[in-house]
Amino acid sequence: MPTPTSGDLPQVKKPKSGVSDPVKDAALIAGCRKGERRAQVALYQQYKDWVFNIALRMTNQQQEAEDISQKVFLQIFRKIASFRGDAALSSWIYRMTVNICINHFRKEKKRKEHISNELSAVGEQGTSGLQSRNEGFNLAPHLKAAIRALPAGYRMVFVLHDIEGHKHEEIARMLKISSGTSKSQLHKARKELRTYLEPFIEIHSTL
Amino acid sequence: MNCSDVENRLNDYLDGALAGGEADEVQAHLRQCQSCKQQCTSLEQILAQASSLPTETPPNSLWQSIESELDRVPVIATTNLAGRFHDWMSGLTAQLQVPVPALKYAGAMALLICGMLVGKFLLPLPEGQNQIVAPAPAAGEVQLANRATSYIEKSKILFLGIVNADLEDLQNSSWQSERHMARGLVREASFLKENLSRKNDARVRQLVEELELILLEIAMIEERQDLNNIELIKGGIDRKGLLLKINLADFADKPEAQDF
Repeated sequence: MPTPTSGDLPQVKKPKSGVSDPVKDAALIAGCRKGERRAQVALYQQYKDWVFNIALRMTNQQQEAEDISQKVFLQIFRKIASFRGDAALSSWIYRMTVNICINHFRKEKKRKEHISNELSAVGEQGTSGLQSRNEGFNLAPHLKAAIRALPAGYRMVFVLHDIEGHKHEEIARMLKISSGTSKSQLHKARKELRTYLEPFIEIHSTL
Repeated sequence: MNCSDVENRLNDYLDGALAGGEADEVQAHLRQCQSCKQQCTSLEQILAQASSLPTETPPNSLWQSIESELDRVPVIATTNLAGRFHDWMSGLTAQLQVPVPALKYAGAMALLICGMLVGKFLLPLPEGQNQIVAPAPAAGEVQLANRATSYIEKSKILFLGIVNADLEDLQNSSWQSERHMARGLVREASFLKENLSRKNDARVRQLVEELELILLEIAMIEERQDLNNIELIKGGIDRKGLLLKINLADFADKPEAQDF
């Protein structure tokens, strides 16, 4: 499968949580272009959670997410001089992150493990959730575990569509698949997630 | 619409991708069917949670890994010079007002001529054939001149190989040997820039820096590069060939430039 070029990537939405600040970004870019370590640290601090979480959702493991994040930031610092400012810095970083994740995904050997492999882990968390029901039901830990346990193909599409908010046409261009395949993968991903998360939701609703 | 129809349409329904009539039918079914309604509610909850998952923080060791890599590889020089490389490229294109393909082929020829000029004017001449009478340089200066000459020669060989290779071959190449050679030359460039400090060294130092711009691009190149990056490097070498020719012609006119 060919490596995607930046031209394959769609326009991306701005980061969710106020990551992008044009004035601050301009100062960071100028400092990083001069190779100032202080600017590099500041840029890292500004974008580390965002980059890391995209990588974490798209990959299966913490270590992989760390490796991808490291690669992203090194590439940012090495290529910052070629950033022309046509788009926001956050968009540039986002594209770089997604591109590296996609390349990682392509290199990843076809994963044999199925979501059921992780079911016990999800189950354990579910039990502890029930024990502490007075603190309120929180689906997030179960959902994160279930997303991570999805086969890589499903996970990528689910993350890009339901977490990052891309359309099927955009996902199709990014992953070099058809829109139909993207829709079908998403359908299967959601079905898997629902199958394993529904018991927790039902139990909570009856408490 | 039965349960199976609804299940097949549930994703599109929640994504707002169903036509009005179909959406109404799904809605009507959901009002009557507890099982499908439960499925729909579960999925809604999952999607709502997915879009607002709590942010996780990477470990502190992540920055330490990045920093040690930054210390290991000369990123500081890279960023500055790479930026100047791009500025210089766009400036040159605008100045010359020549189409890129014309520059590309003219540049390749110019590079060959430059190679000959480098050999003629920068390589040490056999004893007794020196055309310019100048005070004998100190041993350190001779060594410096030799290193500069070697640097220019090696850069020339590397660039010629890239300029003359097919784009497709370059795209599929691992770039391993080129990258390795370029990195070595970048290190050599740092030494030369530090030591070519005399007034008369200015032109040679400038040439060293200009070659370094492209060497840095090559040193950073990754396997299976996209076409744009390769074309940028090839184009840069071509155009740099023109510049080399100008520089070296200057050396020929101004004898002091040969004095490292």
